[in-house]
Amino acid sequence: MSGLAFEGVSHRYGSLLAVDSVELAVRPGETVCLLGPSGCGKSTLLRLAAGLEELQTGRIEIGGRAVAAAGARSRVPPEERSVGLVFQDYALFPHLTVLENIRYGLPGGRSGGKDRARRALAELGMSDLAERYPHALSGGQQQRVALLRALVPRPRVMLLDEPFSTLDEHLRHEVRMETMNLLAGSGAVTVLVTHDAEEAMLLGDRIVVMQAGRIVQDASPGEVYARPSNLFTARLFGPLNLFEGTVRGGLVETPLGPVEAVGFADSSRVSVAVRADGIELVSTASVPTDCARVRVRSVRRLGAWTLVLMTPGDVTREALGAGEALRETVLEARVPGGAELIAGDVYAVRTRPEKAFVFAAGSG
Amino acid sequence: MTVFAAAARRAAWPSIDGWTAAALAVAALVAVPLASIAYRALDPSDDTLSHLAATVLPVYVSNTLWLMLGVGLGTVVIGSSTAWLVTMYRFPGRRILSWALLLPLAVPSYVLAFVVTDQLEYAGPVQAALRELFGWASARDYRFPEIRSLGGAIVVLSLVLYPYVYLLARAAFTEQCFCLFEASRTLGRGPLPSFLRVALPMARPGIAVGVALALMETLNEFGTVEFFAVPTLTAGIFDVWLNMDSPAGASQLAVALVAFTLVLLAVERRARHRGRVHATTTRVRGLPEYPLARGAALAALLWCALPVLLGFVLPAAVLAGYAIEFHDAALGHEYLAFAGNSLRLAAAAAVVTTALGLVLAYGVRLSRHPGMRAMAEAATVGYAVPGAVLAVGLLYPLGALDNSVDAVARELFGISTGLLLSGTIAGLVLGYSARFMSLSYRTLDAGLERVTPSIEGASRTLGAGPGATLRRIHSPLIRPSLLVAALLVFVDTMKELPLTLLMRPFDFETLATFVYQLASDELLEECALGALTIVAAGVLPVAVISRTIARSRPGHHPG
Repeated sequence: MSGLAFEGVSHRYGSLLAVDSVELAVRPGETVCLLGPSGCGKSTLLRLAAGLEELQTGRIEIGGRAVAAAGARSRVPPEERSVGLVFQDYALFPHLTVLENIRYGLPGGRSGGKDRARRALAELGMSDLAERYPHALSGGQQQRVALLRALVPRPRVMLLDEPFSTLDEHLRHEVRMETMNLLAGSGAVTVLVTHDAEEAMLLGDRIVVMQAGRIVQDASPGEVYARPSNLFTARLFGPLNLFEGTVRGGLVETPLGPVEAVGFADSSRVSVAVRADGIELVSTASVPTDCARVRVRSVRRLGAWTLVLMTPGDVTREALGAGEALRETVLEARVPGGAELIAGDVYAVRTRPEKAFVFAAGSG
Repeated sequence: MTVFAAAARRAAWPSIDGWTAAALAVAALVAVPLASIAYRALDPSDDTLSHLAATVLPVYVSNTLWLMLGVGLGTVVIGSSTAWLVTMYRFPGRRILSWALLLPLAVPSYVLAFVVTDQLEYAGPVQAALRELFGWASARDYRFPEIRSLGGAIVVLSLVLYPYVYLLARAAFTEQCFCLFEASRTLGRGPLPSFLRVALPMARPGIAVGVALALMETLNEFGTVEFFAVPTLTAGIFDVWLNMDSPAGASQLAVALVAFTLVLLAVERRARHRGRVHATTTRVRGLPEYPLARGAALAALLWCALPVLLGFVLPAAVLAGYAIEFHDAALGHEYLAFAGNSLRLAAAAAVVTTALGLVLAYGVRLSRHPGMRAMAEAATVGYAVPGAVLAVGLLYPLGALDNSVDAVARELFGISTGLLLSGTIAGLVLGYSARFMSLSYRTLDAGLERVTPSIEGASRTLGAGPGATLRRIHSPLIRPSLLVAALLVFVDTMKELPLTLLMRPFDFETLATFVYQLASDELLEECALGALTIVAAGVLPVAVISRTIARSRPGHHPG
């Protein structure tokens, strides 16, 4: 393994277990996105890899060599690890110009690395900013400078800690694409920390989902989206409709109709999650009368999508199963088009099987 | 495994490395005299303490407590209010006042005490004018507050010590992000509530450091309390030492005094730790400088001018008057030679102490070991130990060191090195360093705390080691703190009295020793020129450094 590897890494801050027995290996040229909410330990992993945090348990390798191992008397200091780190707040040196910031990691004293730094700036069309100070840059410019500063020394490992979180929406997309291009050319191991699932899908060759310090799923973006390992992971990719139910004959009845429960024994209790974009509404005339029905409460156009809020309604008592309480449940659907839907009307509802997930009850 | 093996051959990071070792050595410099004092205080053959406890100790302690309370309140109110006004608002005289408010730092408290007493005593101009005005014939006809009292000492000390709070509060206000203050304004709070609830709490680390410094100076204070006959612990130490001839008893009182300081340090450290705030943005904006309406501007001007008038202009004017009137007597003494001695000593002490303080503060930051910080804290109590006691604490270890070096040199080379440190300039500078390490360390530590961990991490991951990071990142970013540290040490060395009296080479006179000897013999007129020179020497760096601080805000274009 010549990239970056964490072996049995755990880390505590006082009594808080921030990282719990993490095993993770990243190949050179591969981009892995660590995805999870704030406080799940993903930033701590980056700091451990960079050597900014002292390793407590386990072992970290870069390029096949241990840079830190618990119990070892010494470890490789951050400046000798060939690691580039882009900080969430960018951490540009406020007393140095843009050019001096980018040159900082290059050898050669006062004038060393000037040409390389200038070329890098020119490639991003920022040559005219070379003599500015960080406070005179916009947020997007600061982000680009921070990225260049970390990339220019050609590190073997690039670590990015929520690098786009302080940018506004339209700028974020532009800078993301630019960052992707720069990173793709570098051939480095890349680990990017984010709490934004869409960003992880866009940038990651692999997504590693973290929850409370543990890795709960490590798979390709398509796999994580299509087959989330638990409710927590499923929830990261957008709104869900949640139900509790009991498996009967390989099926779970829900207010949105029956959902297949593969691999669950009869009469086991399960949680069912249906993505908002996994719901189809059709006219009641075109389907059998025993199909699940909903009453649409509101219809809101969101451009390509339409947000539909509805309550389970006009369904048979038997199909409702859980009883009276569910009548008040508000369900959420995102449907393409949807111009024909009318608030107040009753529709038949179907669940797309690839967007409905069944988990053991209480599994997260 | 070559990377790992190479690292293993080098010193481990971040356990014991060169920086940690250097910081430990600096800490030892201060810890050794304290250990020496503690060792002597524990001498079981002396029962002075039980005798003291039964007689004067309660008086010493209560006077010390009241003095600390009064000076603490006085310095916070004067220091932080003036710092806020000159940082945030535009009013006539603001630019001058922003550095003039530092001027009282140049006036030794005993000089202000002599001048104030001179002006307010029965034969002085104030009482004479009052008698003239109201036709009183003698002291029986009216009541005049006695300046030579606890209250008088509080006023005098507050007036010369508030610049510590002012300096650090102003640095904190200048470096905090005003967007937070403005956020508070837009959330419906007026300027004053915004100041009290947002700006002041954020500046708390700086203000707490300033008050801690002022109170340590108060605990150390000897000249004023002696002259005003307010028996504090420090005055007690001199009394027990010189009049009761009991070094062990004095050391015991010194230990009690150190205990006071430790409490002070612990309280302050806790407050600082809780209020630990890093700048949340690297984008620094210009200061707003709100204009004030006419009435408010006048009030601000008066409020900021009053401490300068009483703490600096009054003593400087009175001394200048005497210096001109009695110039023959003043010039009769060799004050030029004494002034040269004082300047050279203070400059040497400032450079050495700032450099050592930086090593200590950076070593502590690098090691991140809680034990290191605790030890550095312990090492900085030298500032709270009265100069005289610290001098004696150093005299014994230095003497022992000189003797052993001399013995080794004789043994190996057949030559005598004589006294290298005891009673020499080098030993005196070492004494100043031990005494003022706290000023340098705490100022630099507060400065380092404002460099965010991610800035430091960025430098390390870009290939700069700890030394290169200190040189290329920390030093430029904390330049204001470095200058403040050097200034504080310089001015305090100029004023420092007891330590100089005891550790100076034989027949070596500084302005401070000369002025104190004459003034305590009620010869203020004859030493006025010398006192004025101490004050003037303190003024120059104050002016220079105040300008540099204003110019070197992070993000400000150099030049």
